[in-house]
Amino acid sequence: MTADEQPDNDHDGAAEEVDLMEELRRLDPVDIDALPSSHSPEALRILEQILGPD
Amino acid sequence: MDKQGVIGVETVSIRDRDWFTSLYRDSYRMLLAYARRRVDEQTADEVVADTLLVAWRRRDEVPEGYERAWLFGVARNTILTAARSARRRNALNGKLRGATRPPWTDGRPDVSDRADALLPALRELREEDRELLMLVAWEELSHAEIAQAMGITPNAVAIRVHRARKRLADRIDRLAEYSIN
Repeated sequence: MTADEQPDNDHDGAAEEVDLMEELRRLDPVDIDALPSSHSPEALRILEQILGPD
Repeated sequence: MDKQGVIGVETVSIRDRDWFTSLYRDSYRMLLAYARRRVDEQTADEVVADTLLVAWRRRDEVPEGYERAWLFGVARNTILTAARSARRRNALNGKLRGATRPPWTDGRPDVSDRADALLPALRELREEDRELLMLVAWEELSHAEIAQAMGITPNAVAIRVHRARKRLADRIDRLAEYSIN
């Protein structure tokens, strides 16, 4: 077992950690719904470049 | 993925194309979000295109059930390579910053309470801690998927994530305390 795999015994504040991650989720700097989809002209152009014409 | 051999010439099968088209449709926006969280817009577009091209060329290596994690692993390596190139380029030009710095890390921290301190604290973490927390919170990867993407064991992921969260909480406390005093 490496040093990384040694478990921590400190379980205090576990609920606080969950809240912290929830808070971080809400601060996502990217609005996924506003991004171009895989059907956008840019995405289709890349797909065609990779696969070539049918 | 299967291929068809035609008189010694390997051609791409319809099944391969369909598989990849499906992967592409499922992954494009997710990969773009991943890249935009880490690099500027133009670099993000290049990272997505490069990652999907690698997935097509190495389609036989993409693990079934872990496609998403595998793609994140490729995107991560692509970004690390781009960052190294930018650092070299900027060193040559005498510039201090790279083109691969994520937009949300711009600006000085304006911390008035613990909530305001979260992103500045995340920015100040060492890169490995920050990446792990971003994969959990923003990419919503499981520990098994992160393990696949980073080439470490799921147990190591769980422990590193736990420690990274603690370091983030400590930094938030310090930043908030500093701003109050």
